[in-house]
Amino acid sequence: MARYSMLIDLTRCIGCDACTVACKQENGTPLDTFFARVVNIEAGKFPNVKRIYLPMLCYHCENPACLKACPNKAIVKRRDGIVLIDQDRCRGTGACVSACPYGNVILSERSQWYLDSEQAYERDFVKPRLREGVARKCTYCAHRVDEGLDPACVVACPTNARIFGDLDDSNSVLSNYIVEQREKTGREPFPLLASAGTLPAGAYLDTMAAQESALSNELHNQGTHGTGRPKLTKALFVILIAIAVLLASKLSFAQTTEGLRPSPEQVERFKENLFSTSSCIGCHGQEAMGGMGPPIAGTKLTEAQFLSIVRHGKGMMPGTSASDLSDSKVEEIRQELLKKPWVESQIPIAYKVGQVLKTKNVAMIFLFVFAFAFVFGIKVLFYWLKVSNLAMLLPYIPKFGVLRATWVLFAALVVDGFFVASLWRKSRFRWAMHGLILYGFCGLILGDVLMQIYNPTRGDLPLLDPIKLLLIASGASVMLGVFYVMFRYRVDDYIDNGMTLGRDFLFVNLLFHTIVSGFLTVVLNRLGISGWLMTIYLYHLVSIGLLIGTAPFTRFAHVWVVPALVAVTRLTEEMVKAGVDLGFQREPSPGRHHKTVRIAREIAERLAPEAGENVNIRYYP
Amino acid sequence: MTHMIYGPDRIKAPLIRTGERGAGNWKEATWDEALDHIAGHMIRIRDEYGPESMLLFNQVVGTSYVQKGAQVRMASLLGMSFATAYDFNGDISMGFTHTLGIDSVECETKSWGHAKYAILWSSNVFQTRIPDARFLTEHAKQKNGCKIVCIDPRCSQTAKGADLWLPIKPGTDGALALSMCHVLLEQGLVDRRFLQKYTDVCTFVRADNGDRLRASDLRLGGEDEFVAFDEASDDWFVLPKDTLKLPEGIELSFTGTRQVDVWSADGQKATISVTPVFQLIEDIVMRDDYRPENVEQITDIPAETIRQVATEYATMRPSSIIIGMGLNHRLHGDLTIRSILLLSALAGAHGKAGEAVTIYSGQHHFRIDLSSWWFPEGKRPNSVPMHYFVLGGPTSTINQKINYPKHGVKALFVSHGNPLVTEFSDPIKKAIDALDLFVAIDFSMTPTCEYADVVLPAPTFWEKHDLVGTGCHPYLQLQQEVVTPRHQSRPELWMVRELIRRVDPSLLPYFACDEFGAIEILLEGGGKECKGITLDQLKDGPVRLAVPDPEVGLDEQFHEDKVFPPRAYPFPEGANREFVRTGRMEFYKEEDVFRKHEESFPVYKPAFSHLSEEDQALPLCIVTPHSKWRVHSTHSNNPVLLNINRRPEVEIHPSDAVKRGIRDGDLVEIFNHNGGYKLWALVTEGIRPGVLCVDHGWWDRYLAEGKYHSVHTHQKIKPTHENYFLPAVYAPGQHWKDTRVDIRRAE
Repeated sequence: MARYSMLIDLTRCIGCDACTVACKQENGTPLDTFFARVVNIEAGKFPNVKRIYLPMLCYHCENPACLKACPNKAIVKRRDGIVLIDQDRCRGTGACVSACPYGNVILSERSQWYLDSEQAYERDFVKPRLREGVARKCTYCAHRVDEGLDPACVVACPTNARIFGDLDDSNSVLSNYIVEQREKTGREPFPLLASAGTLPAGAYLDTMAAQESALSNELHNQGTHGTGRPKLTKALFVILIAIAVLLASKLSFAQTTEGLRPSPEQVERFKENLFSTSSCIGCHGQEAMGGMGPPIAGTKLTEAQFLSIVRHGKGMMPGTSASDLSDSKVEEIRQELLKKPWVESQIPIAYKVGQVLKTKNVAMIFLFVFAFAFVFGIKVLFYWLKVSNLAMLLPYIPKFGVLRATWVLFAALVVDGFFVASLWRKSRFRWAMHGLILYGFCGLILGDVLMQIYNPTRGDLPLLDPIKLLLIASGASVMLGVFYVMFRYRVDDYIDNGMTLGRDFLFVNLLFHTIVSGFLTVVLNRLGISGWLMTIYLYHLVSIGLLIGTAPFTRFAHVWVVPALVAVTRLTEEMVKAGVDLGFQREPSPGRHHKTVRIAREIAERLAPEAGENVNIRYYP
Repeated sequence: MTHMIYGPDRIKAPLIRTGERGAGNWKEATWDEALDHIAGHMIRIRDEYGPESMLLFNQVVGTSYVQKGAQVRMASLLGMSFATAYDFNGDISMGFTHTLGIDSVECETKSWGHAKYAILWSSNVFQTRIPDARFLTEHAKQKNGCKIVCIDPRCSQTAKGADLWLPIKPGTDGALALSMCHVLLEQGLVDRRFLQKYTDVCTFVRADNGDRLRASDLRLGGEDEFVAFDEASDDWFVLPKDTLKLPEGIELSFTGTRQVDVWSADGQKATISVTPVFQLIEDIVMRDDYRPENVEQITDIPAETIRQVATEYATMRPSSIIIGMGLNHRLHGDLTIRSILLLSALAGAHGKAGEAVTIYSGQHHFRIDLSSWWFPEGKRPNSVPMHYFVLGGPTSTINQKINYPKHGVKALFVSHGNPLVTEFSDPIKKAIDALDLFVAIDFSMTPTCEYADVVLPAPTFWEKHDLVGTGCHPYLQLQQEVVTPRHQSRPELWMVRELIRRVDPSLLPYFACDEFGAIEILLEGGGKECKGITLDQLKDGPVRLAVPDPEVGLDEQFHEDKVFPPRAYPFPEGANREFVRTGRMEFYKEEDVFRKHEESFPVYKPAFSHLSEEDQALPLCIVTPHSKWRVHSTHSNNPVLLNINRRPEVEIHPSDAVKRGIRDGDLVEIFNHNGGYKLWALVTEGIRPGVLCVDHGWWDRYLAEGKYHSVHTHQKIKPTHENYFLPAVYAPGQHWKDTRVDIRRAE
């Protein structure tokens, strides 16, 4: 298996931009679209000025941020390491644009071409490969690489500053060059923005003039030799899944002991008093929780307490009205239950769990899970905002207008986030399928809130109650959506982009388990089949917990990450259009100036440390 | 560069002007109409004023031996005037001609790779020699650990790769060079073996009349022979005039004034004192003026840096100097280059791979003898430097060899040139206004074409066959037609043939061949360098000429002891011999005109001293380097390149900008007494305070307002450049970098 990489030797680079132009020529990219570019940096003050030329292009990261950010799985990393944006799958959300810390992904609404007339090359080769309104980036000239040729920029480089090859092949030009330079000039390849954690495959070699000051003790081998971090992350997910599955199965198979099963007479008696499924008896009598009544026996509740619980419900138990079960009947049941013996060793695990799962405890657990998810969710969000380099954009916001910026962000969150405009534009069907889950979720949340307001005890509501209907419809919607996703997983092997599968898989499966167990709980409850009800309900609860608890680390995160990234992209675009800063006006591919600034500072710190803060990007001449 | 072929400015059909010049009213004509129109004028002008009243000016003949050569062939056969672009472009470096007898010398760029020390003197190799820059980065620097020094008022693209950047005050390079000579002399880092063999420093100068002491003065030989004093035999020694080889054990005298008896032509004997050139040079260079501590005041380069660079240059061998046009495009650029050549001669840094003083400029240097195609049967066109046309006529000091048309120029043919986008666009327009006919031949509708009477559509480089060579690479290459000529474009050979058919059908047999036939003719008469090269070989790829590998520059002199000057193609051997009569590198020029202007020796003259007082009072100087986005003005209209390099900008230092309230990106106007134009400011730390920089070649239409470089329009010819005349070898150069300007914010 190959692992393609490009090494740029800054000693050799003369900043001629032959790569920039060759790339345009080869890929026929439209106006303002530069896959390859050379950043011209001036560091220092006259006469102690250093000029640095930094050729940039997609680094085909080991851990590509764009790929992870893409909500449509339109970005794939090939087995040979080349990261591609599938122009057909891309819906032009723009999340990847912000996600790439280098600013190497370009999205423009409309393509302007240089010439009015269309030549065969444009018609047959360029335009079919570069769709309108979707994200594009350097492909390492995959179409050339596949034919055994080097990328166009490598061929065009007049000083052989670009060395392209296979890192896994120790005889490749690239591997040889790395070894040779290590031995002869003591230079090690280093990546840009190592802190971003993207593990770029493309790396650089220092300018030799700056070599002494720049060569530190640390070995910059991250860029060319993966540290195995993605593997670790993957392993973590596998462990998480395993724990979840174990826990679920443990609960499912929690067995009751023989002696605790109710006698046939008891069952008969319960049946006589079978008022409805919406009483505690409804469950206990129907062999839920092993068909016994220890909850009450063990609690030694007073009559009033017991009655209150029956009337208002508790925990997972719904309330029961007096018309269904009179006060005297309730007391009768309590007395009956109090006579039950209490043998510690014979209490089923499920019951013990049930004991723990008191409303308060469940609430605490969920609170904890929510807090965990929230903290890590924020952390994840901040990670992405850092990657998107929002910080460098902030100083320009006052020039643009704080209110205007807020409005742009808000509009983006609503239009691109909540209404998923990009999907709507590209495919109504996919928008609808996506909507099943998104709006289904929203419905579930809304239903829960309404329930909290109008039915705080969660007493059983009639089937046609609007809240109940909303919840059922929403649940069904999510379920349909999940089924569709599962179906797509089966039929569409391309959906596996090799990088996010673990996260996707965990999310989709947890969602599937949650939604199906929730559905079963409702159905079994309705049908009065209580034998597995509690087990499934518990399973449902655990699934919800896991779903939420793992949300920051699964594809669930795209719910808030993608809108945030898209909002940043929209903000950048609007600021570019407004011509807020000269840097924006001059940057040939608008919208990445703020990212280039960060990179320029980093490289200047390395190659011209004495320049300090005086680092400027000169786009031309 | 498909945009050249398919771009919107491509000329599709012959055009004949219908309105005023430059008004943009055109009639699309057939080839017959256009050619008949031109031929009619040509016949009339030939008959009325003589054929020399028709002037051909084509750019750049070195890249087109066949096609543009065909135009020269036509001029030769019709007796038209022909202006070489090389000198008008300012590429001619008279400092070289004065010293070496040939206008410029290039080593093969491959040779740079051997250097361990390289001074890029105002040369922006990374930007203007992109394909060859790797010899400095990959070979010299990476493999040899070469130290690169960049002397430039701006932190150029090349300064990026330099270990040391000397931001010199513009126009003071001559002082720096002489100061470095001072250091070498002071520290005794002088290569006497080299000097006595290859230079004139051991010849003597007569105190009585300033002439060089000749063998005939001592009755030891002819008037064209020169003498030195051999200390080993304690006797005069006549320098051989046909070889540089000196007898073993000879120790020529470098210093000391001697009394000597000389005989004049009429037999009079006189005792005079004579001094070796070296002594005289030493007297000048060791003057306090050139002490690094004093030169620091002039150049703003620290004295210790001057000492360091000079010492390193002489000791870290092989060491090279690459000179750029920033030095040469000055009235006193010749003096600067002579000073640099002196420096290199003192160090003896010549003749080895990685050791040379190189000046690559233009694509002028012909690799082979082109006479067989260009000058059929020895007929040559009437050579007239373009300067005189632009100035409106000859100067009082014009060299008598130049036969300026007595009725003036009546018709001008500009082929692939864009003189209206040069620093002299205004005077050129004026000169064109007086013409009967102005024909422009090009593939792109340039500002020059827009001002023409007739525009003929030519093919681009990819649409025709040609034979090309270049100074820096000893190869011949076949340019091949890879795209069928688009629209109605026709190769120049075809155009010329059709014109000849109309103007003088008797000459048609000279144009009977096609491009390949012309190449056969060229190869056959090309001389020793291309002996054995065949068309079939060329069809397979570029073919190396029969020259040393690597070519180190002046190979015949340094390796075969052949006397200076080397042959200047396409002129016969010896055509340039009178420029260096000693047959050696000359650091003393004995001709009267040099003495009159006090330029017999390489001295430093302040760059702007020749300007008017009001010009000198202007606070800023302006440099106009090549852009990496264009080749001169070609590609100015390339939409892709315009997408990267979006608008013309002037580089200005923050201190100059702040004084004038200019912020980065502002619209500004550069102005002086000649005019002004508007563009945008790029405030940068990468340029010296007091200097502005606008890359040259922008078409007027891309400026915010005004005419490109209208500030530069003051033409002056240095009399020392008119002393002799050989087109593109000894001819007037340019000095557009001597302009002084000011800048202000435009509203």
